[in-house]
Amino acid sequence: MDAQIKKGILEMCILKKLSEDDYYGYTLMQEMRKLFADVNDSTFYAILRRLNSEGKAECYLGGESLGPKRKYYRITDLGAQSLNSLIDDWKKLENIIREIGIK
Amino acid sequence: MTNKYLSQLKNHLLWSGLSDDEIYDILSDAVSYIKTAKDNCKSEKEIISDLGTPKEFASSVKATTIERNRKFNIRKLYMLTAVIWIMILIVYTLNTFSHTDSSKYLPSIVPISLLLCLWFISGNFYLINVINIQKINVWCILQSVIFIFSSILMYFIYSGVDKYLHILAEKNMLDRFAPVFNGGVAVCVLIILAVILYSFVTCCFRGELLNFGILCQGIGLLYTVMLYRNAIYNSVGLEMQHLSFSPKMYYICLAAGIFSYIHIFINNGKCYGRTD
Repeated sequence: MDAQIKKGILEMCILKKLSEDDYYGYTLMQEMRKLFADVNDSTFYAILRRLNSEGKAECYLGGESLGPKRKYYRITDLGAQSLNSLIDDWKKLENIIREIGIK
Repeated sequence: MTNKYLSQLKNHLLWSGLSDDEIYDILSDAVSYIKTAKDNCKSEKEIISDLGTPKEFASSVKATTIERNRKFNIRKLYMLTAVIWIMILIVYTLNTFSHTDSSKYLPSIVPISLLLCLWFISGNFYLINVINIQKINVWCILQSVIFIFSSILMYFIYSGVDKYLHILAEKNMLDRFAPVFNGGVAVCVLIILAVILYSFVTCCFRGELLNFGILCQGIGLLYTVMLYRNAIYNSVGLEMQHLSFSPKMYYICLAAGIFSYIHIFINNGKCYGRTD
């Protein structure tokens, strides 16, 4: 898949995943890799960091019986708004593509 | 293998312009990731394959998180650096040339001529794009080498090499060509060296090479003004005045420096101007 197309989709997919549940970073990356096998985990991580810095996602330390505490991510209100906006854009794009005749 | 991976990742991040806290945070996340992957029975080879090479990892983080912060910080630093330098230079220059008894100029003979030539040449490299903008390291190294070279040269000239002083004494030119550092100048030199060291450590090694370069040139400019001031205060003759800068010429250079700074700011630090 083209990198430019993928870039926007990845953010939407990560926000969608976070809207369903809170995720430990590693687990989220593994889930995403099932969908995007050719993308490195570092790419997902970078998007997570950006979402976090933009206030669309936030992280908190979760309890672990062994080892260091794990960093969990959850979506914020801003992230939820951004997700809705991305989904709207995606649907519009989908309609345009369908009207052109690409199925 | 993972230690090597983390070490390489750290090196790439150090040159990316991230803050220490961000680098620490990213490395902590990487350690946590590797530990969890190992707990999930993944081999080191698989882990590194999943994460991508250290360079890819650092590039991903840079591409998505650094640009915004970096632009802001660099711009802020440019503004601060420029305002400080311009203020210092204006006050210093006005003070230097406002004395009525400073009408005699002593050219700083070969060393200063050489220093200025080197500085001008290095500035011209960028003015006419001889050195590609991507080769910013070359420029900074060049500036550093010139600065170190001139500092060493000036140190020998002004603090005095025995032979040099002896020759000057024989020719009865000691006062003119080997003035002794007074306390104030010595403090200034020490401050400059401290600033250089600080800027080198915090800027150069953190990837803020452009800012370091500009700081280096700013220091050079002040250093040159100091030398001229020193030379003027110790001057006794006008024999070689035709070789020296007049105050008017110096004002033109100062104006050129200010415009270079403005040019750099307008372009968000994405270009080079003559600050020498």
